[in-house]
Amino acid sequence: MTAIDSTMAVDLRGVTKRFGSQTAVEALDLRIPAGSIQGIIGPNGSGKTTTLRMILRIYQPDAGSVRVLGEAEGVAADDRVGYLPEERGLYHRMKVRDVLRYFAQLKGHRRPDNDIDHWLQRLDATQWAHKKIEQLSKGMAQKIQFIAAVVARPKLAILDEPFSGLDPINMQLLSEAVLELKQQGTTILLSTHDMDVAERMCDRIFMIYRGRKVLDGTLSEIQTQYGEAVLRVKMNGSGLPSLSHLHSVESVHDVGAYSEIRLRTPEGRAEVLRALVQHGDVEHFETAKPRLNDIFVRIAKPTADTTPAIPA
Amino acid sequence: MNKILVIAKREYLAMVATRTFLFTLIMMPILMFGGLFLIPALTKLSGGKERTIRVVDGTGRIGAVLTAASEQYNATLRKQKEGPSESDAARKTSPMASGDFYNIVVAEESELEDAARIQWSDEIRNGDLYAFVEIPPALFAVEGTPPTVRFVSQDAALSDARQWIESIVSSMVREERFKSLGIDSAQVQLANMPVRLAPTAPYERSAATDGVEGAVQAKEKAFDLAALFAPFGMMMLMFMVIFLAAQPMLESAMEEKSQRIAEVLLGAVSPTQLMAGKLLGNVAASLLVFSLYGVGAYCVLVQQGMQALVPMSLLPWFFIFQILGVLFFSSIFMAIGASVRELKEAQSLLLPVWMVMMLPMMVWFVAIRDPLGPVALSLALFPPSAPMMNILRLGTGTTIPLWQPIAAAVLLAVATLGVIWLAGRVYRASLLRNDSVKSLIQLWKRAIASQAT
Repeated sequence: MTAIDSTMAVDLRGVTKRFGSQTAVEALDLRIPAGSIQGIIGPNGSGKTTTLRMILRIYQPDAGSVRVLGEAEGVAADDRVGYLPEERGLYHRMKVRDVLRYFAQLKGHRRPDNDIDHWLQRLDATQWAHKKIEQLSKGMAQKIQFIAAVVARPKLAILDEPFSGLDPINMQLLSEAVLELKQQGTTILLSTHDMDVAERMCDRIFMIYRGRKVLDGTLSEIQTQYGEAVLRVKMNGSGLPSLSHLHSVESVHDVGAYSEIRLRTPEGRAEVLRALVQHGDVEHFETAKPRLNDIFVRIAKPTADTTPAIPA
Repeated sequence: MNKILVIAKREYLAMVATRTFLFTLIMMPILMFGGLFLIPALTKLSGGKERTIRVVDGTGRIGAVLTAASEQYNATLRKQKEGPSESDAARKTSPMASGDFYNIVVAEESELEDAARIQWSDEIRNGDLYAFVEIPPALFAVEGTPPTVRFVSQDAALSDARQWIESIVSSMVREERFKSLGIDSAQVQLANMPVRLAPTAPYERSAATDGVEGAVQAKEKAFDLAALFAPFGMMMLMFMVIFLAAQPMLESAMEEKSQRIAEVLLGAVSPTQLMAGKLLGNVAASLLVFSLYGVGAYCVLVQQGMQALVPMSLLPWFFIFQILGVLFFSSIFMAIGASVRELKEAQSLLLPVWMVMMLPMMVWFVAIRDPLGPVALSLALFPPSAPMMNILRLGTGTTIPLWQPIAAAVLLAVATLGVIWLAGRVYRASLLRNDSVKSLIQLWKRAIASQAT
């Protein structure tokens, strides 16, 4: 029997969930340290929502164990877990304050008015407290949805695309609120398709693809796994020469000011540099850390017909 | 339990604190019973016109009688319009329901020429004259069939005035004939008096006091039409209460599914808690509907002096069948709501449910005439029709064997538990799915096959 790690807010071990003949999640392991921000990424239909629902106890796994905030048992959802679904999730005809009070009470918070006031003020939404949800803009509704998820002071907040529909100012406001929650000791599980957000905010990133784990670690660890084989190059006065004849080059992408050259092995750097120097004046040449977006695409690009393994 | 109450409170407020609820609350009885009151009200509203009827009296005797009768009628009508307290008595004695005033003008002519007929008809068409009556001189001839009296107007066939004048003229002719035959009309009237068979409920003995046996009492049944419509009204009240409670459950479940609120809710409570809270709020709202309609209807009956039509002993039965009926149908509506994405998808699933729900209304007349008969009994025991049919039967005042409503309530309770259980499975399995169920068979399969999520 595996030992229980009490420092983990979420501990999934060998979790499998099937719907009929379809396997949504298979033998999944995920450990989220308490007090951290864990990013969960993956293409649509990869099993993210199923995983989140198992953590929320909405679904029971067919195999494996799900331990949330130290509790392994219980069909009923834990009051210490807050949840923000991707878009919607609010009663349109209810008023903002009423809907927040309702969700807080469902999470066992008997007198939530002070917390509601705090969060409305914190997210600059006080003037909307007596409006109906249907009267709110998408961004404002998203902020209210966020408050609904955190107003009952959860120990674990599961946020599915929390920044969807927000302008840069509100995005900044909400980002700060998420970080503030973290500072207060709340564990955040952040599901997102925005790789910049994942890079910027998450302590650890977990990627699920076709129901299996394909990435798990800190951004730095993941970049190290994929990083040394990427070059960022700029030529002075001339375009990039064709490098397709070089065996070490896997692909070349124009990313604007630079070109990114993905290598099959890190050892190919010298070969590429020689080819560039022979062609013209090399203005910029660096071994770059790959962006999360590139790693995501590389793993989940439509042509991939097999589940990739985590690089050694 | 606290969370169930929180959900129940929201469900209750979401149902009753809306304009739609208020609107439906008002519109429902208007749509169902409006016809009974609307037609007299509209008639009264459109009444009050001064209408002139010109009478060509060939006999020279009827014109004066009609004039006097019209004056008396107009005076009665005027009183009726001024004093609402006298309205009922006035309405009963009033010969015409249209509420118009009639001015009888006896023409100088004793017989009418065709040219005058055309001229007066034109006046009728132009609206200057309401009608004219041609009474032939030979009307009082005692032999043979009386000659035809003509009543000419635009609405001659339907006119109240025609019937009123007809009754007066007939009565005068009859009187004249009796007289010529030497018969006392009062004696004839006495001889023709019908024998009344008083509708009476089975005898009962009143409670004994101080060891003295109670008296045997016969309770005469009230006005037949009221006796017919009182149980029907109670059945309709049950229908309205169930409908008003069940329909919002469909919309509520659909909203929670389509807006992904269900996901948030199920992250806070179990599906069983969610369903229990919703049903509890729903039952509370249905009790409010019953209170409003029930008290309102009772006040009307008291005002009409007809409260005896609704015995208080019916109240416990109404509550039992109402609560079970609301739970039964609300669960079904909730399961359907959770299984579809749009209202139009729900409609095909709702049709069979509606048909079963309406069954007692299709056979109410048969059931009310024979509350102990096979149709009434089988529908009383059939759970989906039990709430309405039992109230209809009990409302007739017929002594229903006690085992029958008890058996019906037990059967309905068992069926309700089954439906809640099945609906819970469908609700749980459907709420988080993006697809829609297309038929009740598919819904049934989902209920049977749904596994623990």
